[in-house]
Amino acid sequence: MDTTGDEDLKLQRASADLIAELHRSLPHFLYNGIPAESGHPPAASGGVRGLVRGTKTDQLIKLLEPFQEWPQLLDPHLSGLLQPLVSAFIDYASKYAAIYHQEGKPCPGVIPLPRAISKILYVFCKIRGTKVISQFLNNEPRYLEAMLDALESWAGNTYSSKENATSKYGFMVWEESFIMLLWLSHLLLAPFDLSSMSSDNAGIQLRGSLLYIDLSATIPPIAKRLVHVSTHHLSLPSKAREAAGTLLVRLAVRTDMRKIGLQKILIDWALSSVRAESDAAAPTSIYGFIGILSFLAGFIISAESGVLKPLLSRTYNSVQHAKSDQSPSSAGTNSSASARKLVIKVERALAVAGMKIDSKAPHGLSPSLGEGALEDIIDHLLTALEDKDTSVRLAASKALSVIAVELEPDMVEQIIEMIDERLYEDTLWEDAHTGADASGSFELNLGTVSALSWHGLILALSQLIFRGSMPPKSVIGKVMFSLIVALRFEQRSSLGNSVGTSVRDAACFGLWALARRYSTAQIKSYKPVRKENCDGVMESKGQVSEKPTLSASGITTAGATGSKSTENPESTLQVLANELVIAATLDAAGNIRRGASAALQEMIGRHPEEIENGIDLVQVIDYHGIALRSRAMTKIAISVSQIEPTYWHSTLRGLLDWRGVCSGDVECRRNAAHAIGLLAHSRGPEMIALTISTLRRRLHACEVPKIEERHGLLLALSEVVSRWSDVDLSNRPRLQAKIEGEIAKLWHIFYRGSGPKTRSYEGEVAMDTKLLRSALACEAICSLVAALATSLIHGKLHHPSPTELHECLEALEMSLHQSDGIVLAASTSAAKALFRILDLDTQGKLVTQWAQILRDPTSGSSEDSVVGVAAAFGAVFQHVQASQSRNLIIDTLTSLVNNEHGISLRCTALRSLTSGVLESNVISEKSSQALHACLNDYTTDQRGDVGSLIRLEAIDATAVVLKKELLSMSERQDIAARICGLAVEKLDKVRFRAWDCLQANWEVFSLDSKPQTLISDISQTSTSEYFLQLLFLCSHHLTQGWIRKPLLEGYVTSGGAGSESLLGASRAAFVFYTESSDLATLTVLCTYLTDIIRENIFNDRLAMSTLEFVAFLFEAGVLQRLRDRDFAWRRLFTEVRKAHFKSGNVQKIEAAVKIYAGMMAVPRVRTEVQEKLCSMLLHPYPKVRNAAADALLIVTEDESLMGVNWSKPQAGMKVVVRSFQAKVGVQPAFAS
Amino acid sequence: MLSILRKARLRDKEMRILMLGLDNAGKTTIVKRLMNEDVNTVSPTLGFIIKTIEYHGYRLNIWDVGGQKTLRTYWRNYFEKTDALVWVVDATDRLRITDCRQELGSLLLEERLMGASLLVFANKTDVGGCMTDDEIGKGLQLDAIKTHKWTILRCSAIKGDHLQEGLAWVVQDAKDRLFLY
Repeated sequence: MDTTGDEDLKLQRASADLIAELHRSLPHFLYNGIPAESGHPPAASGGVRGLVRGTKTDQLIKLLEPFQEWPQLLDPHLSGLLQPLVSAFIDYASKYAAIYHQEGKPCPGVIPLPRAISKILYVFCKIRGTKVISQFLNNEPRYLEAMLDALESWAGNTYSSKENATSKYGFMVWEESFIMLLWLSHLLLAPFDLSSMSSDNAGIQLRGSLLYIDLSATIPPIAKRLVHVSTHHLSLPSKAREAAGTLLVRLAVRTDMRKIGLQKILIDWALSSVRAESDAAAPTSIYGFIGILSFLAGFIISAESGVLKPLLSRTYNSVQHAKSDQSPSSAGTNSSASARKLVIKVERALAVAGMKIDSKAPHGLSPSLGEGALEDIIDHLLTALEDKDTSVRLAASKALSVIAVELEPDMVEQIIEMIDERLYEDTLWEDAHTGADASGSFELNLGTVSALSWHGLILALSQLIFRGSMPPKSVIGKVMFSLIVALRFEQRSSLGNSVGTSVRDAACFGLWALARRYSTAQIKSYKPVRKENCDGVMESKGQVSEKPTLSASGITTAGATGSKSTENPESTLQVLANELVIAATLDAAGNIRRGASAALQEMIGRHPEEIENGIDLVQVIDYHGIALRSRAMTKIAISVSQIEPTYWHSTLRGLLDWRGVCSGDVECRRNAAHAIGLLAHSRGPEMIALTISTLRRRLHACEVPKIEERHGLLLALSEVVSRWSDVDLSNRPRLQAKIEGEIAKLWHIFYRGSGPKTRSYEGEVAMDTKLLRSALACEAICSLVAALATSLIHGKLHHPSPTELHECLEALEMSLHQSDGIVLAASTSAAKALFRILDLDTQGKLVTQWAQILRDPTSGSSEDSVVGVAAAFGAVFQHVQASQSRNLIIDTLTSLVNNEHGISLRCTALRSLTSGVLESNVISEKSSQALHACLNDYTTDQRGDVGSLIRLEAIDATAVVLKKELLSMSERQDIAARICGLAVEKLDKVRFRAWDCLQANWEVFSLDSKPQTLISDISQTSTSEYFLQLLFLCSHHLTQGWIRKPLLEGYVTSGGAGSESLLGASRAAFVFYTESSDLATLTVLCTYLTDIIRENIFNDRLAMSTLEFVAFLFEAGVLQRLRDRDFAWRRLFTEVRKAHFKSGNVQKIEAAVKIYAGMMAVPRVRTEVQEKLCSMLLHPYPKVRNAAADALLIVTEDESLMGVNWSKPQAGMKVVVRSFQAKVGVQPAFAS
Repeated sequence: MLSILRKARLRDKEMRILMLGLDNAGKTTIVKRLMNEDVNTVSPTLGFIIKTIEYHGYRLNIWDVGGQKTLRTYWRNYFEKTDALVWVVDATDRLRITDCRQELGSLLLEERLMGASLLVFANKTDVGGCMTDDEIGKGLQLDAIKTHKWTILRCSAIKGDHLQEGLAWVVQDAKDRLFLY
């Protein structure tokens, strides 16, 4: 629905470039020997091309298509662009027509030039209309025959060579026949006898022509050929049929053709085809039938009255016959929308022609159509207005209006009466059940009408106005009334989505036309009412604004603005303008908003001084401004409401109906509520009270099942109230008291409906527990509670009574069971606000109660249902005064974080702890321990590393701890070192967040300098520069002591188990780092690595990646540098051996083998390692044996290891292994 | 709705003008002069010419049809949706003024031209001894025309005199009608 609104502007800006590009590339595209960049006129260069690339054609078409939306941008350039295309086509047709079709292997990607030109010309036709484009086609009569020759032979090829379809460049496409037929019909405008242009060439007969009669010899050959070509194309399903129809009409209406009788032949043929009996010789396909109908319609429109007069009743009877059941073509007529549409078109042409002829004839003669035919046609059109196909409805409404131009005004009035009757056939006037104000509101229930019928009927009214065929009599009031109803039309389909956009569209059109067609005085003298259904209520009051309030979905809009009845009656134009203002700012569809704004503009421009501050209105409701719905609603609508009170009232009314708070779209309701909040405070304090009372009344009337409406209304109330605390009315105490009173009444809303106790309160809303299970209701109520409580805190409201407060708490409690994100936010803020107004006792009680729930979260229905409580628990912490309760909160939340609960609950608890407790500068020993644990949480489940969610939360918590300096320095450094580890771990998300935390709290490292590069994007945390930056912390004398090991723990996951790119980056950084630092550092780092292996023997996640990482360090030759250093090689060997001892993890063992291979280079442990590797030659896993053999081979270069298939069963290998062991001097041992 | 508006906006700004008259009246020369084309090489129009002129934001599609006697029967082919009829009279051709009147008279009877307004261009007024407006008016019996809104303008295609005024009248007339509706 939302359009960005920038597209039009963009196109306007780009159009110059697009056109320049077209101008530049066209000559090169069409002609040989023109360099691509030069724009020489085609005459000055080589010949026209024979073949062009299909892709190039598509490119040109792509340049054109954007203009579909703004054809006028193309207008000044039409001539320049079309001329080369047209002359190139002519060139080709007269010189190269013969080479168009060539047998041979298909050459995909290349198409003959005419095909390309036709495709482009068709796009022009689509954008600018066929009639405009055809004016640019060459009309020199000498091309008539050449064009016809080409069309016949090219089309002929398509059909003759179907069996061996091996055309080199493919066959003719419909765009080509379309353009050529169009061209021919344009050429037929030539004011010369066809016989003078005709050679004796008989041409090529196309198969499959609809014409089954022979043409007499007196007809010039060229005319015969034209008839054949067009009747041939008339039966095709493609768009070429339309052009063929035009061509045939042009031919038939020519003076010379009439003289020689061709006209009569064609008409006779067409009529007999249309009324073909079941035994008729010409079984016409549905397309042929449509084609003939289009010919007939075109003929009646174009032919002269003298010719038509005798034909009318015959044609009418034939068409009637075709519609009737006995006809074989009736099935086609009734099933095909285009056939029905064409029947309507023929009838329209007949009626108009008939009336024109009759108007000249003396009175008393029978009508030329036949008795009653006109009435039948009108009747049929009225029925067709409710057709299921849009195109038929469009045609019918247009036809009706065209006929009405010729009709007597009282006939038109009758038609309008009938339309009116049909409109309200299925509607019901209900007494609006608001009861709140006695404005005598009636409500029009449109729930059962068909949106399609309404579209057709309203469109017919609009068309009647548009063509000026509606008499400016009393019916116009009725019509205006219907247009207003239609402008608000909305229905929900069975799937719940909104329908009726087309009805509103038609209404916009009608109002637009109304503004253009009628004078100010004419419009002003009628009031948009529909008398008989209002029981005279309107009349007696004499107020237009008091007309029954209408609403499509049966939701009342009555009394939306309570002060309305006191206003002066508004002029008709003002009423219409108000409606358009609502539609332009609030409608769900962007097109309607724009259409309404266009209509409004017309209304203000053509009827100056009638609409209040019209010019301001037009400026605010800008075509581009209203493109985005949220913007239109929250910005434009508010600015409009500030112009005049009347717009304020209508905006509020609009925001209260289906376009606002009753919308089916949640986001829209939230926007509308927000807009109401702004609206209430935009026109002075009086309006606040008014808005609140209106909303309350609506809420009171809102039926229980209407959850969406209630949601919207409650949200709107909370938006209004939440702005109340900023209003300063200390100098107008009475008004302030009044508004306070209004707001205070809202506390009652939380009473439950049952119980005699509460019945006395006016405006209380039935609110049982069932309702509170809905997330929407919870969200809305919590928002309102929060808003009310906040006002109270700011001293803008009195305390609620204990009962009221109790009910609020109960509502809150129900809401806390919802775990939906939006509800959670609302309920948390409500809890926070409520706690500030509670006394100590209640606070304590609630805390104990909630702690009870949280202590055993699984006792309830599900863990999800306590998420809300957990979130609220932390939120209220800072407002809890009693230390006992505060401790309870911390302990409960900490234990929640620690325990084995679902990840979402733990996350929520941790977040709650962070935002509530840590932010209040409080931390307990336990919770700091819990935080540590969370930073190390690597829980995985079927979703994967869900522990990362907790880690992320913990990082946020740490950020708070560091910022608020909650722990001692050493503790903080401890935790920061852990964050450093997370900043180099393998998950991108975690790395980024951890770095963010470090970056913000860099002081913790007590370094003088800031980090060298600041990082703001997640992708930057995967580069080797990033890793280096962190690695350098390991060499700084201030940090190296406490940071190295935690950092390495994270690093091995990146460098040992990360993704391909991450492995590359982290390893490169590490190698670079070790090369630039001294061997002592390296020794220390390797010692830490050994430690990590030892400490994580049973933790595959770390052990594996460490082994992989160490293996890499050997492969990169890093560790070999320590060969002769004082490094605990033996210890490393032992730890590695232990790590894969009895392990079934092949990957792990393989990593270990790689390490062994590297350690062979270390003299101090070489013997043991070799021994170990030899024993692994007999390892139960073939893969391990292979790996061990490879490793040994590389080091010893003993060729006896080659040529052995290590994948064979190990038993057979013992001999080889023994001999090898003997050779290298290793005692035989058992494989581990 | 938006597409209808767009169409209507386009249609408002677009007019079809039919330029008729006896042969050698100077129709094509007028068109060429309006288009700033060379007016010295004009030959009798075989068939018809369509030209589009942008004038004060309006697009004027001028249909210039040949005036030879044989072509006149085909004039009716061009009547479709014509907004204005420009009747060009050779002000030096006193001999055929009756012929001229008859042709114009029969055109004005055409119902397809009912809505069109009529502009009579008295061309070749740069030539000495040509007919005055009154003479032409009487010769064509213009005062008897009640069915169409009409005016007469003296012009010279060769010099370009008063041609723009002619267009201005046509456009203004169209504007008036648009608001009258």
